[in-house]
Amino acid sequence: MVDDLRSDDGLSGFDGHHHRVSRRFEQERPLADREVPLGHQESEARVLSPLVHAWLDGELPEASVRKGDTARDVEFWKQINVEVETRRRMRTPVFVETKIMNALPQTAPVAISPWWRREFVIRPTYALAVAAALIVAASAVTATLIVTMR
Amino acid sequence: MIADPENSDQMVIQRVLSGNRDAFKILITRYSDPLYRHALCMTGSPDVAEDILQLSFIKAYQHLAEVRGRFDAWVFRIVANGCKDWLKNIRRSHLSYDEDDQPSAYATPDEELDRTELRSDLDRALLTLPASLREAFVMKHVEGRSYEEMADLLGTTVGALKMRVHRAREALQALLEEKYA
Repeated sequence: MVDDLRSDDGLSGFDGHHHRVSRRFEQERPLADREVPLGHQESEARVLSPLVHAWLDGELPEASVRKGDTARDVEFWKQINVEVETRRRMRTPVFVETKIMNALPQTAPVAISPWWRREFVIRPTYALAVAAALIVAASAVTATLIVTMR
Repeated sequence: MIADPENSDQMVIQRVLSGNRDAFKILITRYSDPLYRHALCMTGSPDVAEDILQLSFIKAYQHLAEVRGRFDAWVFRIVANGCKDWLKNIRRSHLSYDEDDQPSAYATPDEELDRTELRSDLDRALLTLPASLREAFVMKHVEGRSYEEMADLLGTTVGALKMRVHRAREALQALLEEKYA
């Protein structure tokens, strides 16, 4: 099975801090197959300091972003992180596992490959039989042609 | 990382392929939580998340003989695609995708009482993000994955993913900061 999730969206190689330039690009480009815009427009987004991103990515200690203009952002993201932490502890409802097991096919999974990929075994007897059949068929066609020509 | 080699994913898969259907339960138990969290955060609906999880594991079972490489990465891609397909179908079936059309923020009625306002606001804000940004934010912040792991799972570059996460953060902050900053 091929599960291709390569929805790079043509953004490969772009690094985070230059993304303002690419916004217009983003709006103009066609949507990737599985991309689903849901109402919120990016123009509403605000610019967040690269330092805050670096802190959120674990690249900077909190102390380095706690002062100055970024202090307010840090407070905001600390609230969000508490909330996100509770989500990280969410578990699958117990009944779901049983439900999935009950829904599985009873037979063992088997590899389904197209005929051209399947292994093709030629036995000598089959090869001889096929060769004989071809000779007979060719002889019959030739005989028919000769009879017709006369 | 599975410490017991007898119960490594590969060994479990071999047991299932040789006819031990019940062994598949080990894989479900092992991976359902992170996959469920992903589906839940992507769709915002526990019912939909359960359905996607169920269909994904059935699909994984049927195609188990075709697993090449890591099972967890393979099954993650099935679930992630399931979420994206669901979102795509939702969009197709709702010409105007208003907030009313979206699934309600996830919680059972009992849980609803305990929920903080921030939790439901964050749910709603997440649901307004484009799928690719939401997926990147959820993988980074909720699932706690590294950019390298995300790039490996999604088949894209670390730079592209950083950009998606950054944009998702900025969009979320724009939506929520008036109330919470």
